[in-house]
Amino acid sequence: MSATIPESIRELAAGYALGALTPEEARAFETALAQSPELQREVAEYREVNALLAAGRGGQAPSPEVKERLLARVAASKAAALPPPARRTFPWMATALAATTVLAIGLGGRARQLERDLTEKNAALASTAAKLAKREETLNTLLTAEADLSVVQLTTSGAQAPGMQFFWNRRQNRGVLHAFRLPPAGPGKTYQLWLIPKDGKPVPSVVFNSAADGHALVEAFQLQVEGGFQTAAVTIEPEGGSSTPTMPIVLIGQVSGL
Amino acid sequence: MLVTSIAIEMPLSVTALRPNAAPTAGAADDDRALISRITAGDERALGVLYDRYAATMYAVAFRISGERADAEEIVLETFSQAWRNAGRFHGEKGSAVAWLTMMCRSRALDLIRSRGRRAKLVETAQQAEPTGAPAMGTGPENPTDRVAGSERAAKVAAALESLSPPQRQAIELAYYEGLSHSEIAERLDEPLGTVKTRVRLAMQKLREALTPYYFEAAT
Repeated sequence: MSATIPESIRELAAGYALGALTPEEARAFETALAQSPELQREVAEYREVNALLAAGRGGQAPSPEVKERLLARVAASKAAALPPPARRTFPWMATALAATTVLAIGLGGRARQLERDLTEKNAALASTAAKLAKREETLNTLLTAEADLSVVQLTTSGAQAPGMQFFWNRRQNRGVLHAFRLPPAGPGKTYQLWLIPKDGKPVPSVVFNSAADGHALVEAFQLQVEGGFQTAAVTIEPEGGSSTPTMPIVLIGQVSGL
Repeated sequence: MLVTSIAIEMPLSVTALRPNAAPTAGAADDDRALISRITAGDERALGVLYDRYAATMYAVAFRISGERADAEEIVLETFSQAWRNAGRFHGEKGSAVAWLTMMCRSRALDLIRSRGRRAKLVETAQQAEPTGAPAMGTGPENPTDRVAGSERAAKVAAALESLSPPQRQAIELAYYEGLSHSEIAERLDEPLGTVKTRVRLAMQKLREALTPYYFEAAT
């Protein structure tokens, strides 16, 4: 079998398993894949490697609410799929019922699948709606400030150094953060924002982390500092945040125009 | 001024692996049985599968998305998809965890790609960038940061360390950022052919080193 697989196709197996091929390459590879048990085995092995790379990472579990939501979602889909209560039937209907039973079983399975899909989609829609509402809140935080909006640029040094913009609605004392080129804080770690008033004592604020692409967005959040602040800084802290900052400071910026 | 020093913690590379509660290879048959029960509509089996692999999926989702809430949503959607599509799982073609990982990565990468589109919208607001000293890069790993755990996790870490730094970097960009060969080449300013070879050789090396540690033998 191996003699029938062009080397140029075989060389794509690893990239295919990683999802690193162009659409054209993927199509060409899948054509060969469908006809080659050897290629199928090779791709399966690369997928096992992917799984091992996943299993080798940190083992912190998601919060218990995730499992609760999963099981609630599943229970809802099962409840939706339950057949209606049995009704009284008449003898002459028995033959007709028997004749349609096989069809009904098949249709019932399909109906349960559709209802399950519908429940899932409703849940996804609710999740999207919640995200949209949060996004609107963020937008309002920026737009309703009018003249009372300060933008703090938090920086460090370096040509490709990370940075962060901190939008502060002084009227509502609410903020929005947007970081860029900021590497993820690492396992068990998080970034934390500190607000430093005139007296110089840092007040802990939100904790956040960045995505693999270096971006982080913290949508509208309330600032827990009265009387404003002059400096904003970011440090790396243990997950959950700290009450006092851990040196060194990663990013820092001054509020201008106050 | 509060600043006492400025330093940026380097991004975790794939070499910074930590062991977790991944199940033993003997769990493979058990996984198949669980998925059969899930196909039959047994939500308790889904709960067991979740307990077994949620931490692994969460770790990958968090590493890719970078946000706890997003990672949890990805885990939820991954296991919801497993519930819906259990009937399409082919145990003879690979392990359950490979199947779950594929779905989890796909969802997480879709999320960061959609974020990438969003990020472009605010790029114009990022002009006030600092200039000066320490640039970001891929710093060295702290070996003491790695804790020896399960044999599998240790072997994965060893296999990754056996890769050359450029090979590891290419794998990391493909695995965690979902970049294509050509995107990696562009990012690293390397010839496309070089990148393709690098990815292929790295994956071959990992496959050879890790075959005994698969969750179950791929057939």
